[in-house]
Amino acid sequence: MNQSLLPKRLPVFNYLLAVSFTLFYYLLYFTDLFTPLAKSTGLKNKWVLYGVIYTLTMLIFGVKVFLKRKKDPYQRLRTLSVVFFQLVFAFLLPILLPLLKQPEFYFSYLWPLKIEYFYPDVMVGKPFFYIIYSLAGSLILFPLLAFFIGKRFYCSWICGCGGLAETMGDTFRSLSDKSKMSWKIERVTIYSVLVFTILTTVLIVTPWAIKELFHYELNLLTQIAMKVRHFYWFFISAFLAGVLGVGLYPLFGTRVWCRFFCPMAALLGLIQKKGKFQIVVKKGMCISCGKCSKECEMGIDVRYYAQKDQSFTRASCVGCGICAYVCPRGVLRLQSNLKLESIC
Amino acid sequence: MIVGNGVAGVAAALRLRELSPSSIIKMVSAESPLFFSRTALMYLAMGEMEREDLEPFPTSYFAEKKIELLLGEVVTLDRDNRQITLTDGTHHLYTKLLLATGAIPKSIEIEGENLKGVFTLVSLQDALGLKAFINQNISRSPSEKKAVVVGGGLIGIEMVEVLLHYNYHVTFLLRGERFWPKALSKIESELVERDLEKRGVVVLKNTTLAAIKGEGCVKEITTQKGSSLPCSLLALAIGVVSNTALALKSGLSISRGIVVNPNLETSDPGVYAAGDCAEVVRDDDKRIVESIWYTSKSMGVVAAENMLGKCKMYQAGVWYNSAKFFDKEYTSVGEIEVSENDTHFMGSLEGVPFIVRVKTTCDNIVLGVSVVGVRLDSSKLESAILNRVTSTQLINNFNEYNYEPEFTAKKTPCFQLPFSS
Repeated sequence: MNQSLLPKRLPVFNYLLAVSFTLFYYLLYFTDLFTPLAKSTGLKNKWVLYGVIYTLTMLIFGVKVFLKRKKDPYQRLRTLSVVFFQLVFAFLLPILLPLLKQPEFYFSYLWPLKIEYFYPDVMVGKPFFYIIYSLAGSLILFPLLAFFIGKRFYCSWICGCGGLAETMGDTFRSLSDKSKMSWKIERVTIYSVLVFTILTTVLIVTPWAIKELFHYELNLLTQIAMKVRHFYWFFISAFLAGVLGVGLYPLFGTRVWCRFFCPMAALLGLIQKKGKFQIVVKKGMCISCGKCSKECEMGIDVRYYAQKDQSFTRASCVGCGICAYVCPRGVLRLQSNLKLESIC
Repeated sequence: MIVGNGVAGVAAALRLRELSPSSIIKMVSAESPLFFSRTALMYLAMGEMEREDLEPFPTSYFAEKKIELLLGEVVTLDRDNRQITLTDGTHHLYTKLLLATGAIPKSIEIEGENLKGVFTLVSLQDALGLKAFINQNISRSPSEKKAVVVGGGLIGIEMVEVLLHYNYHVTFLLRGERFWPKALSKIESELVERDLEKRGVVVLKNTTLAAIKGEGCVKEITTQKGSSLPCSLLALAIGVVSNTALALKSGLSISRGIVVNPNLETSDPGVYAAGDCAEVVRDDDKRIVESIWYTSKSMGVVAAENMLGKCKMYQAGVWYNSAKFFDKEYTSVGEIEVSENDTHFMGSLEGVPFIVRVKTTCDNIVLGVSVVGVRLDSSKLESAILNRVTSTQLINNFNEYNYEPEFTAKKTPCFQLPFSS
């Protein structure tokens, strides 16, 4: 397995593509270049235009990927699911809701990924249902699902970031770096972002709570909170998730955000390690061919576990199931080890 | 000292280090600087994987384990002085030596076997050579891209797959009545042969290679039936033989392989042999050479244990085997020799038929299971065999052995009449 951190021997086209993606995201997030284009096509703003482009891309490549792996029921359902959630919950519903006098809300995105859904000034004005959904979703539902069936329910079946990775990004999936060094780095960066996310949330909530409960305004804290909040948006949401996240697809694979930075991935990954999801290895059957490791978009050296007959759960595993799909001897199987045998 | 860095040699090296943290362990190979998965050579030939992808362990892994890797051919094995000499002139002393030199393609002994365009698929060099040749000729017209594959076994069908990938027209010569008769029954082979025909492969049974014609490059071959087949590429996959040259030269006892006792010791007590190069003894005292990935791995481990003084017996005999015929995965557990009272079960997965062949005693106790086209849990099958279940019990609990991905529709195969030739 390649042990260096830099992309090796990639075609020039990949570099050109990386520059194009990065440029697109830079212009989208940090300029108003797309606003006139959006307005001229009758769309509310550049973000709706982005949503159209994003969803359309996922639809087209979703069909391609669906057909590519159509003989595997897990792959079929997962591809359908991820396109469905993007189309309905991340695109159509947020457009429809305001027309129904409801807030524009993305049901498929929750804290800590969508940090805003724990910001008091964002949530307090909304109907009670949305507040409960956000709190219960982030603190109860998602953790429970991650525990019982693995974080894959979100990362490769629901999340739009994951959705783009699995559809448009399919060609790039084997570019992920498999080195031990990458694994070391990702653990430092991803948990750092999670901690930062939690701290930022606390920093925003605390002055609001103090004001609500004690009618005391912590002006300095509020000022600091605003600066941190803006920095979070700029650095985490725009730069890491958008610009680097997609920009690096053609060089480092599709899951750079998911693997190195996403706070949801960090949180659910920790829960998954203690949970019931695992990749089972058929003892004595691995021929060490390396297809599993090559195709793993998270840079997990699956072969390492398979060749020593070790069933495993890695925090970064998003349960896409491609390792099992490509294995030429059927050695791997994704499983949720629940007692109820009747569930798949 | 280990000669050969294939799966047997590496399994031995790692086991030696596991049991002995301080011995000096060296491994020399003439083929490649780093251990690679030979079973994946076809993917290398197809351009699906690069050489680095095939390497299960990086150089740093061996460095960490203080296993010294050497690249070179062993020119002399001096057993009296317990040393080997490499092509670069260096000498290496050993206390215990393991020969894990593997296998080499069987020679077809027909003139023309060394023409350009004639390939085997055993070594890394074979795979790279095949890929290079195909790429040189990639823009030839379809009428010029004709290939003949000789040998109806595992490597043969892999070479067919590689050639089809590059849009060659392939004629597949099988010496016997069907594909891989050693392991597959008539019904199982038929499933594979039908698939081959659907892919445009011309399958010629009971046909052997008689002559190879060409000047410089292969142009045409003739079968024993007298028919001529034009081809610009000839793939020979008629089997492998143990690589015993070094052992023979140094005076060790050789038969079809390097003769070893149940402790994998050769005729010289300080020298061991494991893997495709070794000839082992079975329970019924028959001697065989097992050229299978899984058994080579076990042999490496057992040899290492014996080299460190632990008396371990190697139990010869295939427990598991596996392969892939295009889209159909093959697995076998237990005894698989085809016999008349084997029971075949046929089912369907995503509209494609699969077959399970169960070999039983006269009391219907399962001795072995052979599966083509569906993923079953081989560990559970092994337990079932050890627990002496009957074939009826096995089939009635078929869904327990399911290893297909989640959401696969559960299907119990339909019972099929016992196969009788």
